[in-house]
Amino acid sequence: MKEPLKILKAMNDIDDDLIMEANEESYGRERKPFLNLDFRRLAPVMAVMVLAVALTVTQLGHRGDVITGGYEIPAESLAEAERIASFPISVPESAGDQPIGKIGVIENTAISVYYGDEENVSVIIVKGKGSEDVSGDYNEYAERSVISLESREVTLEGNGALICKAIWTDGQFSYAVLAPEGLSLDDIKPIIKATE
Amino acid sequence: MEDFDIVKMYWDRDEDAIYHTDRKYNRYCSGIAYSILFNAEDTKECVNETWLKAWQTIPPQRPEKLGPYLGKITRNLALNIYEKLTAQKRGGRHVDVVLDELSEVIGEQSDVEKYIDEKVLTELIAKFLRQQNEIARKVFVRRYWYMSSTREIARSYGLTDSNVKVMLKRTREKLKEYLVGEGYEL
Repeated sequence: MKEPLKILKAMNDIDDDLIMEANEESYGRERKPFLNLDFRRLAPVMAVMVLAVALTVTQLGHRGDVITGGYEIPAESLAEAERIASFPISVPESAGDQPIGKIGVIENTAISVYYGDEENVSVIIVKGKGSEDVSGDYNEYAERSVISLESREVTLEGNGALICKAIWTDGQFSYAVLAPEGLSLDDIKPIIKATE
Repeated sequence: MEDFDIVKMYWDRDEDAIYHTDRKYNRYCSGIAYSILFNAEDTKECVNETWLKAWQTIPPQRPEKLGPYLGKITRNLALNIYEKLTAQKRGGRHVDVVLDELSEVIGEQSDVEKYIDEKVLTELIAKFLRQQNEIARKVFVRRYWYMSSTREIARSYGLTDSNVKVMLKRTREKLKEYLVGEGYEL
């Protein structure tokens, strides 16, 4: 056995209270507020996570009879994500040449679709309930503009010609397309159009 | 349903115990397994195996808190699967990253097994963790018990990603010092 793996295995049987304390969302304790978040690095990726939690601060954890784990859980498919989130979502099969790598969902709240692999997420699409900005990306970008795209009024933010964040709402749901490395307008448009 | 009632069903050999366990803890255990395996099919198998192990071990066990009890089974099974997959060169990269971090505490070449029995190591780690401040302790357990990504941990505790990494590094250094201080050559 690899020696570091021995530590992981030895940790398995640490006391229950230490395990429960570290995942207090699952056991019904109050969460701390989100303070001092620094989104300067890997901002969009983190932003989705923060957003998802922010949306669910009051809903996470011990939901009646179900222990959820308190955080975004993987969904095997979009259909499963829709079932858990209790709303439908349509997204493109790929973003550029990157296929869907992971789907995360928070019950009754938000779905996040990640394109690319675990270590190299190229695009994230988020759909969340409500009309608040679901991007959670608080970076200050040099450029900001609003465009009409079919029936959507989309706010675009980025640097130079590259767009890092696109957000819009249809009243009942809010949407965000986040591109950590930035995308051109021509590249991000089809992603926005295909997202519902 | 309360844990106490589910455990009672196990003791009564009522097979509905598994239904209620699955209903209450599937997502919790799936999250633990998936963080290690990053594969939905392996995760499902691991969780099903957890229910079987629970059926086989309760009784004689009578866990007060079913969550950690099941979580430990799941995590242990998932780590065993990870080991097998790694031997077949199919291991998850996420755990590899976690192991790289822990190699700062116990190096690959260390022969710690000669010196530290796993149970003793468990006790030492638990004792060490109790000496840390609350946030450092939680962050450490989230990373090395739940295998959460640093991003997830940052999100949970209102920290930045780099805060979490620095905190983990410091705690690993302290753990190494602590184990050495307990007389172990690492």
